[in-house]
Amino acid sequence: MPLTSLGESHLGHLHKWQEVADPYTGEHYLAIPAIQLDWAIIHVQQADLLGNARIFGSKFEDVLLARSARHVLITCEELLPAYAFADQPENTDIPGLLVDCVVYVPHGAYPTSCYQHYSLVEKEIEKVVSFTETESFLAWFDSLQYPCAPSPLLGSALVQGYLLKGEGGAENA
Amino acid sequence: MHSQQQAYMIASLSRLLRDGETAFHGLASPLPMVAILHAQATHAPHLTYLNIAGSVNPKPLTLPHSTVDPHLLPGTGSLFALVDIFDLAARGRLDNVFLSGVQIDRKGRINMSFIGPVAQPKVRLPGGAGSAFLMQKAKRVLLWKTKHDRRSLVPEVSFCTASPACETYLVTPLCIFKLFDHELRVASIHPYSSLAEIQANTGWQIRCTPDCALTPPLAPADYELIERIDPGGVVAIEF
Repeated sequence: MPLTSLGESHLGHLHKWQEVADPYTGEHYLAIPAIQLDWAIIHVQQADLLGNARIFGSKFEDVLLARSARHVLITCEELLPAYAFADQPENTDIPGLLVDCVVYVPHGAYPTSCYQHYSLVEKEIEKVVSFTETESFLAWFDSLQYPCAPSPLLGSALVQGYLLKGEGGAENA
Repeated sequence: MHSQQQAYMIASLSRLLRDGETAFHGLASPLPMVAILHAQATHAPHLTYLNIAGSVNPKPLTLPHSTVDPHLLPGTGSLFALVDIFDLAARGRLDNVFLSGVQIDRKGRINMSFIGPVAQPKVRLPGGAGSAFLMQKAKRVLLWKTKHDRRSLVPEVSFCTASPACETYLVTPLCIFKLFDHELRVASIHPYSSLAEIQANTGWQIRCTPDCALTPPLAPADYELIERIDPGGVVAIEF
């Protein structure tokens, strides 16, 4: 819902937000420009090969992000065949038609949490935010080992595979 | 066992909530989380508990350090997302919002944006999230700050992220301030503190509200209740 004023906040001046008059009542409201996202990168519990995605638990702003971004990249804990959600499409949060690509990344939210899969690991988060050089981050990243099974949809050699919709890789992979 | 300062902050925040109201906290808010559960367990069983994880009156099995954690989901029958919170506030139905600031000033304004000049800040802070909106639209703003010192409580914020427009309180380890005549004034002094100690640690010349009193003392049973609600002592992460 729109807002008439931000009080004494300096944010409006900082961002040069303008006011518009409500054509019906004449009341003035703040008009805050939309954030133009090139990409939204969203980690979900389940996605199918068509890019349809299901979020379990809190959805935060992820559904809005997917609808506002020019491109959407989905990473997922579980990758399912095309039309796997056809029996309950009302439970699909992000429609595949908005999604550019799906990346199969079990543990992709680590060391933060993924509801019903794993909890956050405070010590690891502290470690990551303490890194000041790319090398130390990459060394940490390379040291990660997950007990994750390869996706049967991507072939046994691929533990972390990606597929780009429209490249014919999806159903053939 | 909770420290004296922790217990008085929890009890003070809890007492400011009324039965039948709605109360919302965001991330990094262990004290508000425990205060809301404390209020529900004592004088406000019909308080509606809302949070940034999206749950409504959850019954968490264990309390998380992070208050945007799935551990806040058990017991909820629906999900009420942050965008819904903003609309609820705009409709005038958000009674209490818990907010804080890196700096809080005499007029109850908070700074979550910059320290130093905006063009070349000395420190870039995380940002106010929805505080500029919620401080205008909630019915009561409960500010809390575990550091009561002159660095945090300043005469005037260097950048105003959000300013109060309604009933506003600030709870610290030493006292409760209340916005009175556009100024945060001492409304309740914790029994182990004093006006002299509060003045020594506050960046402006403090004044009291007409009804300023001592915060009701906590008995051993009060500490035991707090211990039952927060057995892991998650609030310690804020101190």
